[in-house]
Amino acid sequence: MKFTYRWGQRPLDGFAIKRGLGIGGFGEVYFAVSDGGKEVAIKLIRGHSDIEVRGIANCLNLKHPNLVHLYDLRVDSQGNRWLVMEYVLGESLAGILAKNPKGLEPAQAREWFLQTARAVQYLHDHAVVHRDIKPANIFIENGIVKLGDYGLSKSATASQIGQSSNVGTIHYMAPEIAGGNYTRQIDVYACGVMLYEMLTGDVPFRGETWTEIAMRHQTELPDMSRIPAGWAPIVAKSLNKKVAGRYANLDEMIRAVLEQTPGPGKTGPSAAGILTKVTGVVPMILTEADHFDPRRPTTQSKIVTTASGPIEATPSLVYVPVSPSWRARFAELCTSMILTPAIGLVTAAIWGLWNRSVDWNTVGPCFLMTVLIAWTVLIPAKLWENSPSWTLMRRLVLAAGGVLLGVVLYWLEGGLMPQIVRANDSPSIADDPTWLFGTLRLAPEAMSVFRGHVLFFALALGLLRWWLATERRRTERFSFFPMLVAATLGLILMIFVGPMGHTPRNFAAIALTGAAAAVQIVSPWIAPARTTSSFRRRFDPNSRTGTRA
Amino acid sequence: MKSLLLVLMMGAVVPGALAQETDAFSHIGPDPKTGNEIFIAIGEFRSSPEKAWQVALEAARDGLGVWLAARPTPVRNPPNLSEMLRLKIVPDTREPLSSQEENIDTGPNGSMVRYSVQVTVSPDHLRQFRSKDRLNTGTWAMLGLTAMLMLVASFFRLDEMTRGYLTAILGTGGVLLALTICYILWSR
Repeated sequence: MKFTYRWGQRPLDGFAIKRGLGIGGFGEVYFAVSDGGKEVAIKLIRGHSDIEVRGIANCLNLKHPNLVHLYDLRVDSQGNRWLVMEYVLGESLAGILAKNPKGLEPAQAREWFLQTARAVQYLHDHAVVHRDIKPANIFIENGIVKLGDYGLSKSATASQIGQSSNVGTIHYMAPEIAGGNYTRQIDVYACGVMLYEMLTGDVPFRGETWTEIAMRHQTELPDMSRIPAGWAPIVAKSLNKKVAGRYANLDEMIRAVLEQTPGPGKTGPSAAGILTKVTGVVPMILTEADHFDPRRPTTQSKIVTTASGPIEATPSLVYVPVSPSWRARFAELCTSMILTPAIGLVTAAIWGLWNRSVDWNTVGPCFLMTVLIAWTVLIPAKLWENSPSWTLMRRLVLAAGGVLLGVVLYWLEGGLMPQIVRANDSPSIADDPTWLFGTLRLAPEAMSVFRGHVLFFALALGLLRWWLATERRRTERFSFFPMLVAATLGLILMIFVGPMGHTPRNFAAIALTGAAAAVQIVSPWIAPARTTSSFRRRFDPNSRTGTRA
Repeated sequence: MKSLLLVLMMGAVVPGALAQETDAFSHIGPDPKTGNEIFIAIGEFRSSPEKAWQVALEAARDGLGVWLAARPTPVRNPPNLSEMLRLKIVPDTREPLSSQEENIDTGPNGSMVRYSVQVTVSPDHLRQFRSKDRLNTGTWAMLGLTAMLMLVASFFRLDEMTRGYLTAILGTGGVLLALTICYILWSR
């Protein structure tokens, strides 16, 4: 998805866009600077009803150190609504969890949780249910945790058990959401899921489809064996399927955390210090949140409570996962392509050792082909990152890339290139032994070599699912298996393509193997979270005990 | 003198003798059996056979370079002498059959000698020369492309770091650098 606006544009009077920050189902967020020089994040709000926008407006005057401040709700000349909010220059909890696939240290998780929970409790005190609590909406700046994206929040009046859109991320959705229940308890549940994820590195329920995940939230018990001692009862209670079984509010959950998991104490590091241990952010502000009393009434709370109107039912929104912007993906692709020649050099060095030669005429073609094969895979794979998986189409595209690679290698090896002749030069061009395709002609002695090269690479790229090795969420960053498969296929093709045409020199198989390694090494990778097998979930006694606890 | 006459005669009878042919390097023609292109390179008179042989080989190298550059698929990086010897394009010893020796008496100072060398270029040699040439082109193209990619990646990273404040400057600088890289590559 592309951003609607780009650098320098001023869709909203008084703000110049500097760059896009993110796109999702909620709209587009940009980093912008006001005419006076204030750095802000502005969100183009799309697909929200007037009542929902009024709900956002109700949050404008909420003030809490752990909330991303909302400055204003504006309308541009085209009638689009924009939310002007605080620009948080810090990493999200999702990013930190991605770097820590085995979870955070309990002390760190505790601080993240406490500050987040205080912000959520503050929202609840002001009759607002967040409804979209997840690590991607929690940031850290100067040692302070900031909860953002409460643009999707609903103001919750006494009659807040109403109907609303089925929003939020499925992994953090409470079971009662399926029934349209949007009480404060869904935030308690989401905080429990997040706590689980911070402690284990993985969400409690995973699945192939939304339905499967939602079903597990409703029926399965989480694997509590991975939760550190002392935390299990808290997490188990917050993840209770029944609303009545959970903490009544987040304040109660905060107290439980404070009681059962003692903090660092007076002699230990400050909360900001603990947080920065993970993120590396220099704390500049003292952790005011530690002393903030979420129960302290404010004048705004009354206004908010009375201003919120009845919530109307709206059609279900489709959850669109936020993916890196095209700029980020393009930058990633460039970086991957820049790194590829390094792997190409290693491959060429191996080929040079095999031949006992360091002559560039010997190792150069191997280097170039390794890099070109890897590039041929990386470019379309990056384009396919967010598109449906049409395997046949992908194979055909890669095979077409293989045809080009075959021509390139043929050219590199000094083959005579096909020449275009006019059709009337020859009475029957198809009968001409030099006829290649259309009006292209090639010397007969070169025909076999040309055919062999093209066939070899077309099959080598078309037969394997190369894009799997570049996937961001592949199982392992690097595996020898794709290399083994590529090498085997290369050797097989040399045997079987041989009778149909003169196959490339041996280095083609080496180059394929090197490319299989290169695409893995240079492609970005997000470590998968630890998963528990269904066998373990079923038979591990600790798991059950933990859950019951 | 006999051999020189023979060479000159052969050069004269070869149809389509190339325009770049000189007295020192002449195209005899393709061998009908092997398809090899045959040339004769004639050196200059020198006082010692070694020097004369070296001069003849250099004449062969220079002549072949000119001939390769004038091919329909020109070769811009002709082989050097050691490569020609390695590929047996020219004989590595002064064999009577492949090279011809000519002596002249210069009186009391002794005799002067010069050699003519047969240059044999097979179709596979031509392919190897083209391959070397294209490998050179391909390597430079890849270096250039990688440099451009580094430029683009740097632009995005720096723009990210400066949060959009310097986009115009970075963009202009990037375009100028890209043009410089293109110019350097083109001038090669």
